Amino acid sequence: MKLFLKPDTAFLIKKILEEKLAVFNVKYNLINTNEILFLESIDTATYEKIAVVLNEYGFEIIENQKNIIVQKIKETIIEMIFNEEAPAVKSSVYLAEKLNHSYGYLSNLFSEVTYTSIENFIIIQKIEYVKKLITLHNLTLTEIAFKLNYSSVAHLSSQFKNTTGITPSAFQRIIKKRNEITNQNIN
Amino acid sequence: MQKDFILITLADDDEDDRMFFTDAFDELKINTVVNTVNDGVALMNFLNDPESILPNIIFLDLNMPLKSGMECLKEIKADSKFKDIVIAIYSTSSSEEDIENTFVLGANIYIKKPNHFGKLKEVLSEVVTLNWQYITSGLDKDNFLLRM
Amino acid sequence: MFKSKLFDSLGFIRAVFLIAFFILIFLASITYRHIKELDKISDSITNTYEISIELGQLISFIKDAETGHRGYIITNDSIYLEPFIDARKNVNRSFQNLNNTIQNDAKKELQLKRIYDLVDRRFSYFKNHFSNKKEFNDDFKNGKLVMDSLRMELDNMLNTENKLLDSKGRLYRYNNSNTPLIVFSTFLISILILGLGYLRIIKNYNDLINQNIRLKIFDESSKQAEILGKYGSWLLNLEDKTFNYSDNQFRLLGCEPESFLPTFENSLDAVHPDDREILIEAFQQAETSELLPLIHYRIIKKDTLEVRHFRSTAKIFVDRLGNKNMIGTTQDISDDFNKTQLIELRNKELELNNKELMEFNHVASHDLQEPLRKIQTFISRIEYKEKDHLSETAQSYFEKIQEASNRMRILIDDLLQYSRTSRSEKTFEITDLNTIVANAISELSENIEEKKAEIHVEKLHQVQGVPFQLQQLFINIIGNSLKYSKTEEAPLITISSKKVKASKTPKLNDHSKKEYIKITFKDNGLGFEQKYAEKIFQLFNRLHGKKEFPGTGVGLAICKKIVKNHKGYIFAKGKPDEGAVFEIYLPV
Repeated sequence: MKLFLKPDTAFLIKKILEEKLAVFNVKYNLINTNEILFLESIDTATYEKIAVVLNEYGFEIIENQKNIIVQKIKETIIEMIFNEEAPAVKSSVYLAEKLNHSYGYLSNLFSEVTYTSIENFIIIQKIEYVKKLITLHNLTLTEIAFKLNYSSVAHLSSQFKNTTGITPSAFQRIIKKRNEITNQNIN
Repeated sequence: MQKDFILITLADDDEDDRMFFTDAFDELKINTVVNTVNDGVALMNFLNDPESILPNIIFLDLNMPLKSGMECLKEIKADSKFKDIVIAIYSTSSSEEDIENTFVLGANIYIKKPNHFGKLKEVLSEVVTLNWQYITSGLDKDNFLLRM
Repeated sequence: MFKSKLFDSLGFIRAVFLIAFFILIFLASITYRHIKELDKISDSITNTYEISIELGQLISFIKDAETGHRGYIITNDSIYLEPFIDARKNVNRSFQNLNNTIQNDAKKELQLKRIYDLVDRRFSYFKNHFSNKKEFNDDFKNGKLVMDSLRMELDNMLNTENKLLDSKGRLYRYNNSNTPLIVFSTFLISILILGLGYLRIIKNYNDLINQNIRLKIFDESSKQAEILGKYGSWLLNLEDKTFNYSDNQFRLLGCEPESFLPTFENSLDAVHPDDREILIEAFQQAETSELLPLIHYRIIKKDTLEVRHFRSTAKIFVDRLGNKNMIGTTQDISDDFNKTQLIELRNKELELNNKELMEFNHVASHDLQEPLRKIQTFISRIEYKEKDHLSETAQSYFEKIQEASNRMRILIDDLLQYSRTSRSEKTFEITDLNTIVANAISELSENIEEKKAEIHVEKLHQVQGVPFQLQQLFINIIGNSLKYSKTEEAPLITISSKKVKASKTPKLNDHSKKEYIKITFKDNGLGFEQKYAEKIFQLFNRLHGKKEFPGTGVGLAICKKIVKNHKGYIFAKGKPDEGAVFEIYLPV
C-alpha cells in the first residue's frame, strides 16, 4: 500500500518556526516561508542562538553581512549613549575604529538598510535617552543637558523639538497626564 | 530582515485625502501595505474582525461621521489586543489642545495634513522610518511621540 | 460736635442755677438766723424795760402806801387808807408781774426775793395804831431804813438791768451793722451767677434759632432733593405702627401729601401683591436686627396705576425720650431699573453676537482650511507632474494661483489662531515664564538660527496664566522682533521681568494696590514711528508692504488679545532704525 502525501510545506515550516521561536520570546512576522521579520531589536547573541536552533532543522540562515554590520553599528551607538561616556573622538571615527570599516562604508550601508543616516539614528537614540531620563529619573532639562554634553538647554530643547515635533516640557506634561489617567483607571 | 513590510490602515472619510495618502505611499520606496476605511465605525469593525491582520500603524482622521477619531482612539487604547499598534492622528486641526489631548489619550503621532503633496510624502516617509526604528531598535513605544 | 456743645451748655446752665439756688438757700438761712437773733435781743431788751418800769412802779406804789399811811396817821381820816390798801394790792400785782417777767433767772429771782422781803418788812411797819410815840418813832425810823435798803436794792437791780440792756444793745447794734453786708454781697454773687446763666441761655437760644433756621433750610432742600432724586423718607412709630411720610413719599405713591394717615397695613395696599411678602418679612427681621436691609419691591401708583420699582432701607432709632422709631428712605428706581434691564439685555445680545462671531470666525477659518488644503495639494501635484506641459502663460498663471493660495493659507491660519485665543478654555495656573521663554525659543529655533539672532533672557518671574497662550504671546513677540530685524545687523533681543506696583505705574491707570509682573522685550531691529504704537496691535494692521514683509497683521493683535485675557496690559515703544520695546504687564 502506498500513501500519497501532499505535504503542505508552507504549513510545516510555519509550525516549526513558531515552535522554535517561541522559546526566544520575541515578536516577529512570518512574511513567507523564507523570511522572518523581527518586530523588535535582536542582539547579536540572541541572533546566533536562533541561528543554531534553526540550523538543527536544516534552516540555513542566509548570512546577511550587511544586516549584521548594521546591527553592530546600532549596538555600538546605543552602548555609547547609554553609558554616557562621551567618546574622546567624533562618533564617526569611533564607529569606524570599533567596527573596522571606513565610516563612509558604514554610513552608506546603514542608510541602505534602515532608510536612516547614522547621524539621524544617533540623534533619535539620544532623544530617546533624554525621554527616559525625563520619565524615569525626573531630571530637569538643565541637568539632562549637562549630563549629555549639550552646549545649552536651548540646544537640547531645539533638538528634541526638531526630532519629535514637541518641546521637552510638553513631552513631560503629556507623559504626566497619561500616568494620571492610568492611575485613575487602576484606582 | 531585508524586506520591511509595514501594514498601514487609514481611516478618513474624505475621498481626496484617501487618494493623496495611497498615492503618496505608492510613490514612496517603502514596502508598505496600505488599506483604507471610510469612517470610524468601519475602522473598528475591521480591527475587531478576527480574520483581519492587525496593522502596524493606524492613521486616524479626527473629524469623521458616525464615530470620530477621538472615540476610535479611546476604544483602541482600551483594548489590550491593540497595544502594539502605533496610532497616528491625521487631521486638519492644528489646535494645541487637540494635539495634546490626543497625545494624552495615547496617540503616538500627530500629523497635521500638509497642503503640499511633496510634504505629505516626506511626512509619511519620516513616520514610517521612525516607526521602523522603534520596532527594530528596541525603543520604548510609550515614549514614542511625534508631531509633524 | 454740635450736639455735644449744646449738651455742655445745658450742663453749664444747670450748674449755674444749682449754685444760685444753694446760695439763695444759704442766704435765706443766714437772714432767718439774724432776724431770729434780733428778735431774741429785742425780746430781752423789752424784758429789761418791763422790769425797770415794773420796779419803778413798785417804788411808786410803796411811796403811795407811805404817803397814804402818813396821811392817815396825821389825819386819822380813813380816806387816806384807801391808797394804802390799793398800794398793797398793787405791790402784790407788781411782784406777780415781775415774777413773770424775769423768767426763771435765778440771780434775779434771788434779788426779787430780797426786794420782796424788804417790801414785806416795810409794810410791817405800817400800823394803824401805835401804842406810844417811841413805837411810832422806831417804826418810822425802821421804815425809813428798810425803805433805804429797798431803794438800794431796787437801784441795784435797775443797774443790772441797765447794764444788761446796754450790752444787749451793743450786740444788737453790732449784728445790725453786719447783716446787710453779708446779705448784700451774697445777693451780688447770686445775681452775678444768674446773670451768667442768663447770658448763656440767651446764647443757646440764639444758637437754637440759628439751628432752627438751618434745619428749615435743610428741610426745604431735602424736600427738593427728594423730588429730584425720586425718593421719600418716612418714620415708623414702632409702638402704634403708624407712619409719618414725607411729602414726596406720598407723591411717589401717587397721592397728594398728607392725603391719608399711613399705617403699616394701609401702606402695604400700594405694594404689588407679589412683593408684599418681601416687605412683611423685612420688617419682621428689622425688629430684631435693628436694621431694615435694602429691599427691592414693586408698587402700584394710586393715580396712574403704573407699576414702579422701589428700593427701601431703614434703621431703628431710639430718641432721647426713649421712643423707638424706624427712620427709612425709599427710592423710586424704576428708571434705573429699566435702564439696567435694557443694558443687560443689550449686553446679552452683544455677548451672543460676539460669541456667534467668534464661532463663525473659528468655523469659517477651520472649515476653509479643508478645501484650501486640497487646492494646494492638487496644485503641488500638478506642479510636480504637469507643470512642464503647460504653456508659458499658463505657467505664470499657475504661479499666481500658487501665491494667492499660499497667502490665503497664512491668512486663515492667523485668523484661526486669533479666534482660538478667545475660544480656548482658560484654566489659569502658576506658570514659570522661564519655561515659557525656553519653549518659545525652541519653537522659533530654526528662525533664530537662520537670522543668527542672539537672545538674552534674564531670570524671569512666575505668573498666573494659561501656558498655551503665554507661549503664543512670547513666540509672537520674539517672532516679530526676528521678522523686523535689520539685514546688516544680527538681531539682539533682551527679555527681562520685574515686579511692579500698579499705583506706581501711571500708564496702567490703576491706582489699586495690585502688583504686576512687567515683562520687557527689547530688540535692535527696524523699530517704528512712536505714533503707530497703538495701531500695531489692531487686527489686520500692517506698517509695511506685503512684498517687503509678508504677513497678515494678526500676530500682535493676538498678543493684545492674550494679554487682555490675562487682564494685563501691553505697550510698545519704538524708534525707527533703533529698535522696539514691548512691555507686558501681567497681574501676579
